Amino acid sequence: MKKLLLKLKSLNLTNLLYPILGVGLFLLIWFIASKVVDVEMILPTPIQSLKRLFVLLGKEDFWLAVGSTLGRSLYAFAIAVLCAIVFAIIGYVIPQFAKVISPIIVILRSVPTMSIILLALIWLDSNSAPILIAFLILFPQLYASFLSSLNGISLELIDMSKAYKVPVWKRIVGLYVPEILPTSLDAMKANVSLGVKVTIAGEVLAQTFSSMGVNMQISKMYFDTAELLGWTIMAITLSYALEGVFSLIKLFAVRVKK
Amino acid sequence: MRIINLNKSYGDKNIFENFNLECEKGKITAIMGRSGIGKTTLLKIIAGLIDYDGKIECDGNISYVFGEASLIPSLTVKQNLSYAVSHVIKDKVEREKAIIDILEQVELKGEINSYPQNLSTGMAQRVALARGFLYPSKLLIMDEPFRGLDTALKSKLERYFLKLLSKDNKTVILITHDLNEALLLADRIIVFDNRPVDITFDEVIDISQDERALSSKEISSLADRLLKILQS
Repeated sequence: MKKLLLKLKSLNLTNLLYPILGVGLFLLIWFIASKVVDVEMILPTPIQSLKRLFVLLGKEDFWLAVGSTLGRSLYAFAIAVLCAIVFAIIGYVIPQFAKVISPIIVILRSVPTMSIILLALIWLDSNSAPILIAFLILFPQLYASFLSSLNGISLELIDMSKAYKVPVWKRIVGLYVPEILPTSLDAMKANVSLGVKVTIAGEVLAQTFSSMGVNMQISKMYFDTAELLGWTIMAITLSYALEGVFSLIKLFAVRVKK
Repeated sequence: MRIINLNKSYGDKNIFENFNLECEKGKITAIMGRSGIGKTTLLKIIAGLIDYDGKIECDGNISYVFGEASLIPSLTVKQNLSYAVSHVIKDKVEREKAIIDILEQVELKGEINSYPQNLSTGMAQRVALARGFLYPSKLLIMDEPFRGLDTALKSKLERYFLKLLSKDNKTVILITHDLNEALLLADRIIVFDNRPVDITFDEVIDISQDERALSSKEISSLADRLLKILQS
């Protein structure tokens, strides 16, 4: 066993082992809970839910719904990232601007998610509302993170660059971007999955046609808990995959120093 | 390097009022004085990092060695040096040769591809020193460059500094709190005091650095007078 663990360690697989153990433990608890409840309509077993998910995987409508939810959440995420970058840069260069928009950011961060969802449903159609909802939730988080990364750059490094009269473009490429990249990618990684969750919540309430949210709502209406959990597993997989993409980007973009 | 009628204040704190200073070409001027008196502010003014009223006459570029090594963590030693000089030494071949040459002089050629976090404090400070000399400038300003180093390392770095300076006759302004460092390195020692800043001590040392010993009569007498001023 020890030998096997050592081998796994040398292959750097132990890092994967612990999350797998965590998932296994979660499935075991789920399985025991479903056996205790013993009513499929209330809590099906993980196997029943996975079986239903595999049935869903074979349907074209399923993939259309996944694609449209993914598209909406990525669209909202991209706009939120772009706006957050622009606002954070302006806020960094002109601190007065950051002070002016600070209360707006605080308001956006403190408004209950449900209020944002309901207001967006009043203002927009069912296709656009989830995008606005996700944007309004993601933007303040990303803005605060980008601004804090920029403000966290060492003043001595900035002074050094100015003292040696390093051109602005070179400061951006050589100092600012590498310094803020790791924390910014971490913030994007955390928020991309939040975007999926919020988009689905918006779709549920907006009854967005051909979306994961509306399909989850339909499953709930028919008390098809296994299918609802199947959709949930898909949403988790989607979030996990998107987070994985950002982990890979970080791995390639941020130099590994050994 | 001449500072003429310098005025600088922070709110109602008047740091410099009609302040004048001239540093002789190719010489090391050490500035001493209590913390917060305005020594670093003066260096930042000279480097153009903060606004001021008055006139500063200085030929060409200025190199700045900070108290911390100030190396960008995501860049290697070579990239850090290149970052500071690539806009002044534009030819890539010439730049790389200059980088290797200066790293050889501070005995860090083997660390050319290392990242700052893999260097010891002394190594990082040697890279910062190398950057100061690699950058084509006539004036080198140093803000407690050997701060927080143990005596042996400090003495080693001081030797590297004098070695580099012997090949590149820069005018140096050195801020230090270390009496021995000032006595062994400087050609002139000045002390700042009062608000606005006054020069309360100004003395030239006419002994070359190679021939100086702290135990010598002249140096120990200067040390006594300097200590009295600093303690008062």
